Amino acid sequence: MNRKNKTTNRPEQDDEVLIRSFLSDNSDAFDRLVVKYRDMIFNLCFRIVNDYDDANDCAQETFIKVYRNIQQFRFQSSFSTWLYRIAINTCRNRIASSGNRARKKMLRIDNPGEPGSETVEIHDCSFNPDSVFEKNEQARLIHQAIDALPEELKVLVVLRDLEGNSYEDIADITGVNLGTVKSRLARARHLLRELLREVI
Amino acid sequence: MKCDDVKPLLDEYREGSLPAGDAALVKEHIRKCADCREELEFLRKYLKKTGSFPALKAPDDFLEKIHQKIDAPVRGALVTRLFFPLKIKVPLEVAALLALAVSGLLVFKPFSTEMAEYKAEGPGRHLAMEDKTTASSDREAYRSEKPSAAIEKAPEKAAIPKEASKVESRAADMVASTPSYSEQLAMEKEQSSRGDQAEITLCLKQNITAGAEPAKEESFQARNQDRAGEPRTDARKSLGYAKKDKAAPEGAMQSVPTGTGQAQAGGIAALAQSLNGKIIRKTADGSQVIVEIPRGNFSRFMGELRGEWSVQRQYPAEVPARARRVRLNINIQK
Repeated sequence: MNRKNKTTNRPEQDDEVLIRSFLSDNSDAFDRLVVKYRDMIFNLCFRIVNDYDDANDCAQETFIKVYRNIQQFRFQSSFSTWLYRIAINTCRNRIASSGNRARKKMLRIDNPGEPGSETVEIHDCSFNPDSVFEKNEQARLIHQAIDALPEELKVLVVLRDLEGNSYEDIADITGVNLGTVKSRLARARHLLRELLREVI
Repeated sequence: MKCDDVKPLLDEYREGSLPAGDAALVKEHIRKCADCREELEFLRKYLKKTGSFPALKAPDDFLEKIHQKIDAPVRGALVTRLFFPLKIKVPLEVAALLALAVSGLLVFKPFSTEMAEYKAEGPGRHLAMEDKTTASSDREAYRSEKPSAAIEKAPEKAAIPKEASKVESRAADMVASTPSYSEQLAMEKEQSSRGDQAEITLCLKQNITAGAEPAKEESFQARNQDRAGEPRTDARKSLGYAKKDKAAPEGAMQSVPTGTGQAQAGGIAALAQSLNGKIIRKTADGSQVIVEIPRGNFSRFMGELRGEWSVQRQYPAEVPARARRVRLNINIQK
């Protein structure tokens, strides 16, 4: 599992130093924060929106929001938690947007022969989720099953099962209390078990 | 433990991070429950698979793109800030506007009467309560100018000797033939009356003494009314004196009620309503009231009114012949 290493190589104090430096008009500090967290945020966005281009947009938008609102960061939680929160909200907005829904509709080519399927038009995307899992069919199906979950459950599954956050961190990021996080995750895994009965 | 209690703990049980007591209970439950056992087995396999998911790398130009977007001028920032996301902000804004409109209505509506009163303030402004504010202001201007003109003319007249030239006498004739101020006002009033509606201004003063013999004019008219069989009691009830009437001997003038000006004005308005009239406007302190009644009921209205009020002034004295309705601007003197 890609267990999350939030501050893998650098202690959290580094983030604080960088943020304070950025607040005192050192734009290099912001660049260092972006470089440090870009892959983590990009992966998170990709796993939530399930589209490479959308994930790229969401990740970039996340850092732009950080750039514009860094003065609102109160150092009460870790920077990565704050960053996660912004990224998740950005992804949620993206998913909620009608454009994204229309694009997703175009991408539904799982069963082209299925009666009632509306379109087989392929979105011009340089990189689609299936290509990530081309060598691992089982992983691709698991990814599809996760993507089919309701959004509130999907976010929790991504944060816990794919990103490896602790339950406490998830509660902090999502603003949902700990008990609810655990029970929702149990529900999500039960749904996944149903969806993946033939796979696992 | 029940399955619903155990399932949320399975992940921590698998990790070994569950406290010993809870872990023992979960272990005991799993031993007995096949479904939870299967769930735990699924969890192990599933998490093993997700652990092998490939991690993606952000595009190489990720940082440059961010810089470009940050440096780019923000287009439609205001519109975005005001209206996006549409689903959230537009309904909120509509609701806020509606709330503002309703609250504005609630705040300003109670002042409408006072505003009308404010308009009517000032000496001789009893006509200002009319809707046609422009017309009334014109009249005011005319009134203010006319007396001074008359004053100016008086010395001129005096200065003209008897043996004045023909031209001068002709001029004097012209002055004499010019309608007086009151006549002009009457003409203007008549002109201003809208087709079949006449407008009459009344200044009323309530009878202060409760005498057995009312003022000559009043008693005469009151008697006439009574003789004509007009049911005075109805009108008096509407004036709000019903209780006192019961106690007092019939026909005798009642003592002045000690009600407020508002109640008095209300009584007049009620009298108008009882005679198929309607209330046009009524000031908060009851000093002025405008009513409209059918012309046929005008004399009856005046008769009822004179029972309790002395009419200080009525202008014009007669109702125009073609008028079918009469609008009465009533000023009540304290």
